[in-house]
Amino acid sequence: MPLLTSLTRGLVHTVRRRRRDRDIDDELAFHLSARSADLMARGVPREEALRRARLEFGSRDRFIEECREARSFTLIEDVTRDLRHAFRSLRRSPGLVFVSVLSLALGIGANTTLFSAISAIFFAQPTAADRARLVWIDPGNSNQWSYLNYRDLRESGIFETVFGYRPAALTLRVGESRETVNALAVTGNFFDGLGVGAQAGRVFTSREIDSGPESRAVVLSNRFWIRRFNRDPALIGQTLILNGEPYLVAGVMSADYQPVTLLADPDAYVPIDDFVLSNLHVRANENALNVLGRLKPGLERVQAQGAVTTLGRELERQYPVENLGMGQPARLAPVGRFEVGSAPLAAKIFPPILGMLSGLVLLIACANVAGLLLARAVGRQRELAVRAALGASRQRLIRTLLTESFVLASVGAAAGLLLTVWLMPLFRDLAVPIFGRVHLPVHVNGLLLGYALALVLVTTVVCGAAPALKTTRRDLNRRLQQGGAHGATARLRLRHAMVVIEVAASVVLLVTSLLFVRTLFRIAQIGTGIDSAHGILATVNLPPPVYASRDQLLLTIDNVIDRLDATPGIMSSTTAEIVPLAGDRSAARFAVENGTEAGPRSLVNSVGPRYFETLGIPLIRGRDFVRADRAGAAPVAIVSLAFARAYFPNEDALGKRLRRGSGAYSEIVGIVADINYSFVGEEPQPMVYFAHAQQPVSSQQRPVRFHVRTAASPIALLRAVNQVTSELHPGASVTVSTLTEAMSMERDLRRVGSWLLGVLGAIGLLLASLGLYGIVSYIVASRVTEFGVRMALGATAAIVRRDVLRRGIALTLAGLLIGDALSLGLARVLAALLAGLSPADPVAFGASAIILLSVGVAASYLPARRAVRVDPAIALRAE
Amino acid sequence: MSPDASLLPGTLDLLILKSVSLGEHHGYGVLLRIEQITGGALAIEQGALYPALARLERQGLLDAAWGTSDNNRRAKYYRLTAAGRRRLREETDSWQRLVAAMALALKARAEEI
Repeated sequence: MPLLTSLTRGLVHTVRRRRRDRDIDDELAFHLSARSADLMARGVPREEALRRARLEFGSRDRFIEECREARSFTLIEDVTRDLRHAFRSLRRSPGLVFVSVLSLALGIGANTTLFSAISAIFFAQPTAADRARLVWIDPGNSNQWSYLNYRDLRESGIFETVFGYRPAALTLRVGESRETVNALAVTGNFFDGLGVGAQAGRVFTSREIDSGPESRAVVLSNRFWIRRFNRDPALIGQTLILNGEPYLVAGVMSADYQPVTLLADPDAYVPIDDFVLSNLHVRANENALNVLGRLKPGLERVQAQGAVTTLGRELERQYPVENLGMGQPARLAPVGRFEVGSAPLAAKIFPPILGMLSGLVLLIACANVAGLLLARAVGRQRELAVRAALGASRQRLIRTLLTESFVLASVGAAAGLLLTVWLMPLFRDLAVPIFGRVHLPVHVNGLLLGYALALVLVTTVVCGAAPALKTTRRDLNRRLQQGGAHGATARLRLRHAMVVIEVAASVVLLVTSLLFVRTLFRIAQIGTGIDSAHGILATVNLPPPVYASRDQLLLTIDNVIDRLDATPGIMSSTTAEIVPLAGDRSAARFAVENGTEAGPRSLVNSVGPRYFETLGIPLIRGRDFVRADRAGAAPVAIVSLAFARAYFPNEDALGKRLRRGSGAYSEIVGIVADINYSFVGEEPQPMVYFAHAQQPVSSQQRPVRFHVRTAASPIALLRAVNQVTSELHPGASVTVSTLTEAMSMERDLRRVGSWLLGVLGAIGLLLASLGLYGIVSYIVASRVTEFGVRMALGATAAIVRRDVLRRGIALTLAGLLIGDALSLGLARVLAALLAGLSPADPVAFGASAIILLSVGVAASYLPARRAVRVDPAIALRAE
Repeated sequence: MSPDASLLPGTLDLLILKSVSLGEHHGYGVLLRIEQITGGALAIEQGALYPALARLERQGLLDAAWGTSDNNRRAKYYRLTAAGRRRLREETDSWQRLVAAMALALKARAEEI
């Protein structure tokens, strides 16, 4: 606090300074008049009296200065004086200001923009009352809670409240148009549990727990209300047709309500019941609810964890098959922490790389500004030396110089923040394939401003320290006597180091962005193991429960497939649970009969007959699934080559049997080629395919996905596929796209990431080129005398030019080597994302070497040409 | 030796405090009074007086207010604050101790030791 008070008082004083200066003048005037009056009283003539009074008094300026000094809060005044001085002296070099501010605006803007996006992801907090007591609850077998298990948990009384949700895709019908609504099916106490209300209307009440059709209601998100219904206030109380049934619009959430799903922004909330979620009352339905609990006051998370584990053990004892593994320790995690683990690899790796590279851009920008300031400070060496001789302390001089770089950094940061604000809308509302619609709450907030301020301080020191320290060294006096050209070696060494740093930093930037851009092109070319060029994907969301039995649904699916196959232009069609490379994922450990109890984790998919044919995955041995592989028939599985190698390294996998958990054994009837499942260019993953028709009921709650293989371009058949698959159910909503498009999640993320990296690389290169040119020209300029001497002694222009060029190239090469070593280390870390591209990719390294060498040569050649044009006589006289 | 004894460091402040303690006065009046009470032996550099006044004012030892002088001009009048009076007392005491000690020391002869 004392600091604050003294600052305020200081500021008030600064404001009052004008008045105070007038007071000092008045006091002086009074003194002079009183003194001269005295003198006149002793008979001195008036003119003489005034003159003597002034003479006795001494220098008026010194008097005012001393009075000021005695009265003022010198820190504040010094700072304002320094600032004013800095502004004044910077105004005299607009070129320097322009280049520095531009460099720093790009450097700082890149960092603040990235920071605003990343901090929005990592610091996003869901809206909830007393968030500290909210926890995520995961049962010991790492599955989700089935509704029945959830009810047991709720009744156990361990928590104050327990509530849950499950994403559900609903079909909204308005007139003849149908669209998919990404909703959350929530338990009736969901909003009560969070402790949040609606902006208009109401949220659900506990009445809606296990409610029947008579009380179906829907709560809309603010953004969906705006996007779809144009903020219609009359909507509340009306009914919407979701999955063919009327839902009363109960309320609309407020705009600043941040859902617990954080980035994924659901359009609507409906009460969970049999209607939106099939198999609600199946205990083994492991993929049902994400559950949150509110801890009782005073209860620690660890205690609750123990209680949940005990409950899980009891539930496993009662239902050993359905709740296998539930007795293992439960996991309770605090709410409101971004779960990095669940994000796709590309999303995990890009932010840190982008952060690092934008740091490099800032480093290059700083090096540029430092170079400019150094050149300027050297030019002002005499001025500084004179000031030092007149008694200015070294600290005072350093402060003056640092103030200049502070002013530049602040203006640069302000421009950078403007850039960030301008770019923000791009981040606010993103359509990301796996999350649906993502809302990033990016704002200018204290955190961002604090970050910008930190960058300003760092930049001030990084840009200003070298020039300030170098030019205010104690041998100033000697330099004052000697003149400018001597002692230049030390300064040159600093400049050489800066050239090397700039080159090295831009090599890292260039190599990394080139690697990713190259990977992008490569992904388009390399095989994923799937022939997506002729594929169509139709996703059908079924409003359950529609079919009397599962057999009836399977029969209908078979009918649809028959009709698809009969359509001209369609080669084959099938169903599948998961679409590879689309962001979805399912994995499990398998036990092999008479073998290892649990092998490596394998990816799982359940597919229909002719799946491999439809997706163009070669069947290596054995047979495909057929329609006869149904419930009741002998369970069968098909494994990938990588699975066969991992589980049966020395024997034939065909005919062996495997099982998941405590389920029945399935016989391996076929081996297929490996495909890319999670991301393009991954190592072949062990994978197990099951026959869709033999899978437990629970897996059928997912939407039905049809894969279609066409003879020619798939575009022409999209309509036909839509028509046929819509016949699965009159209330179904169908999304049809080409398979290439559906599998583009990974590619899209990469494209965004690579694009950003490319922009960073280009900015870095631009800045580094400017900086290199500036520094090399300065080095040449400071050697003009030397060149003059050499040319006077008979050196030809060509020799001098070659000398300059050689030095420029040597420095660039040194930077190149260091940068290459750093890039290689970084590329090794990123190897997994490079889709099989070698981390030492000769194209990326070669291209960046060529680019930077050309920049280095160009940056040296122009100054070299200028250097040899100097008339030796003039150069010598400059000494 | 010149008739004007030079001012010892730190004595200017003490002299100002003393002279202001004799009654409220403006800067020029303080100057005249110091000359008067020192019998003209100590010459105060005029330019040094005002910064010293400003310093003492900032330290809270003096209070200043604008008033009108005898010849009807705007002048700044100085007054001793409570803190100033206390400081004057302390400084006077320590000055007298110093003077006494110095006098004693300077009177000393070899045989007395």
